[in-house]
Amino acid sequence: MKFSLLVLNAPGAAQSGASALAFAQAVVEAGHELYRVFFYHEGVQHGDSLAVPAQDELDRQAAWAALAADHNVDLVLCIASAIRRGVLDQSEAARHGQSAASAHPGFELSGLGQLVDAHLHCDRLVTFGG
Amino acid sequence: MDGKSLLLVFRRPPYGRSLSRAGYDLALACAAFDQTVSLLFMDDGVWQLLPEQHAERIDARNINSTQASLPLYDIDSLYVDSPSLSARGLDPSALIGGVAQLSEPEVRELMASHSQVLVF
Repeated sequence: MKFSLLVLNAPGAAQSGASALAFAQAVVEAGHELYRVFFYHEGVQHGDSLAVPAQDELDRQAAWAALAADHNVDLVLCIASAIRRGVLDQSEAARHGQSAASAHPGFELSGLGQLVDAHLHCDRLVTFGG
Repeated sequence: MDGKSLLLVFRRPPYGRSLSRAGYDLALACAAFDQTVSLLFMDDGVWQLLPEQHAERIDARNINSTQASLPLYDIDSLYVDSPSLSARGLDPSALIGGVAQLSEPEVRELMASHSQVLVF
């Protein structure tokens, strides 16, 4: 089965981020295809590479990036949500005259069309948080 | 397209958090990509359907103006869960126009008839 996930909450703010990662790992372990993870609303903070997790906490961003690299999963940050929250890639930082890029290179900034596309191309679109 | 349909369920009050805004943005994006989208308001989401909201007094964007733009994007399938209205003492006649009232079984039917349901 083909899955996509929609992640709505910031990593530190809700259990739903951990649940989304565990679910994503379970999807690929069970042999299903994970097509895309779309981070929307406060969920875009998953892609902020300047955030430093506490030493006794799992580095969930690294886990997402590893999962994506190993299983060819699209990690997409909603561009409108992301730039509003200071998660910018190089080209957005340049476009808006900001001093630094903060988006993790394993995540791509793109539009809501990527979520619509996930809805169209997957058997299941599963939401985490809200 | 392939006959897929999306139901967006709004369950939160209009202000305080920006989650409902994210739902409307997705509705407009669906319309821009020619996808069928329906909106259902239930629980505290029914507060979004009251007219004459003065959001400027709390320095927020008025959700009524976003709702007013929906017909321009051919989004005209708006539904409200009747039990949520009565639980809050809201009279259906007090709501903005163009919203169909659904009973509990009709809400279940609406959800079952869409291929995806997302909650905001």
